[in-house]
Amino acid sequence: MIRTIWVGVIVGFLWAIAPSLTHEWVYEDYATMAQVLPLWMPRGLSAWTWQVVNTPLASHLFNLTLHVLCTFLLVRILPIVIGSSLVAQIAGMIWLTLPLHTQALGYASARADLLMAVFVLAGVWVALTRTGGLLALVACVVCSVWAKEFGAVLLVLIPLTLAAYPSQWTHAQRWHIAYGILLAIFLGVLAYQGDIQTIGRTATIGTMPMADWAALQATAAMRLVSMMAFSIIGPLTVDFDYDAVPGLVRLVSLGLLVTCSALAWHLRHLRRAVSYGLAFFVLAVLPRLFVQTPKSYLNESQFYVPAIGPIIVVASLLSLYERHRQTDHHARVQ
Amino acid sequence: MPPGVWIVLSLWLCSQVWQTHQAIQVWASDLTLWQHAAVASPGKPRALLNYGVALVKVGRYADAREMFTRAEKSATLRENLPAWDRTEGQQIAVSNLATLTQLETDLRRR
Repeated sequence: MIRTIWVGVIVGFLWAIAPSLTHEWVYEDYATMAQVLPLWMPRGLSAWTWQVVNTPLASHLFNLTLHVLCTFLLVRILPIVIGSSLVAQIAGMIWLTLPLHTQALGYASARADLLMAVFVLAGVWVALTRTGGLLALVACVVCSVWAKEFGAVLLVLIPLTLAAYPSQWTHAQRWHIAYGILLAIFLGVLAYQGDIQTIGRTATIGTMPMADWAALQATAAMRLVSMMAFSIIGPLTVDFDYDAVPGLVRLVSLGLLVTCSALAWHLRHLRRAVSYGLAFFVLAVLPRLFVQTPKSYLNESQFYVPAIGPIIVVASLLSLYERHRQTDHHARVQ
Repeated sequence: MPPGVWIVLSLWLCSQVWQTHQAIQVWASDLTLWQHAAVASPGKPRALLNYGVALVKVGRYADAREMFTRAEKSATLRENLPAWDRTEGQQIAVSNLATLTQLETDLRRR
């Protein structure tokens, strides 16, 4: 039955995104394509792919392939996290067709986010299964940053994954990873302090009070959650201008992040997978809070990696329901 | 899983597929993209300005002028916009209006 549903979902999904294959470049596509970066820099990999994949059709197909690859990796990761293969596949179907990913598929410049997501998911998978060992883990971190600078979030997601699901790695290996990550952060700060200064000079950070700025970013996080929630019951166009929302909404948004963090901590023993999903979401959103300027207006694709967190939470809850039903059934049979 | 869950799941997935199909068409061109943005965030100068520029590109100068004027008003009047948004919005709206006037004058001369 699950195979039949998969076929239906894939056919429906291809029908849904088919119009994008005829679309031309939009918004900042020309600028992204023209951007020439040294290969060794963050985004170097993404910039290099623009030299090879540089027509609208090829770009949309490339984004589609990356999204499918991410879905595949998610379906491989979720059974380990939640313990149910069936629910993992259901979550994979939800992920594949999630309207939140429309920009990632329809906007060619979102390629860097998708490329980064592939390596972030691969890194989490390696951390969970130890496939390829330390070398694979390092390769995933390097490639995710190479795809986009925000890929550095993997340096936080790996310790989170190891803390939540430590059984695959020995005690000594976990220490090696911790040292490696500290070294990577140190080298990263040294190498890119020039970039950090550049970011600091942009008008946004200089002219906006920090609390206000943080509240705006938290509002962006709430937008992600509300869009995911609305995608169940309403059209995607239920949207709001998150740069100009009233102060109360911003306060609620900050509250949301604090609540997610507190819940993740509280549930860490009781509901490990739910806690992991919440922590994944908060940690993946945080770099946006510190670096991203609110000037990025259309930025759903930047929520691609943070959105993995809520999907893990949804899958965990579904898996809990499934387990509860099975226990109930066994009790009745006995 | 009970049949009810499968039914809900199928409806959910159908809804997602339909919304993706609708939303992907927003990304067809600059015009559709910024029209959507201007409708979703009618008080956002950046969305209005970019929609105005997209309208200029397709030769709809009167509509473009309306968008630039709305963007300027919005940047001036909306106090809950961030300072950078108001400054940027106002400056670019004034500049775009002047360029549009010049463009229309040149076209009339030809």
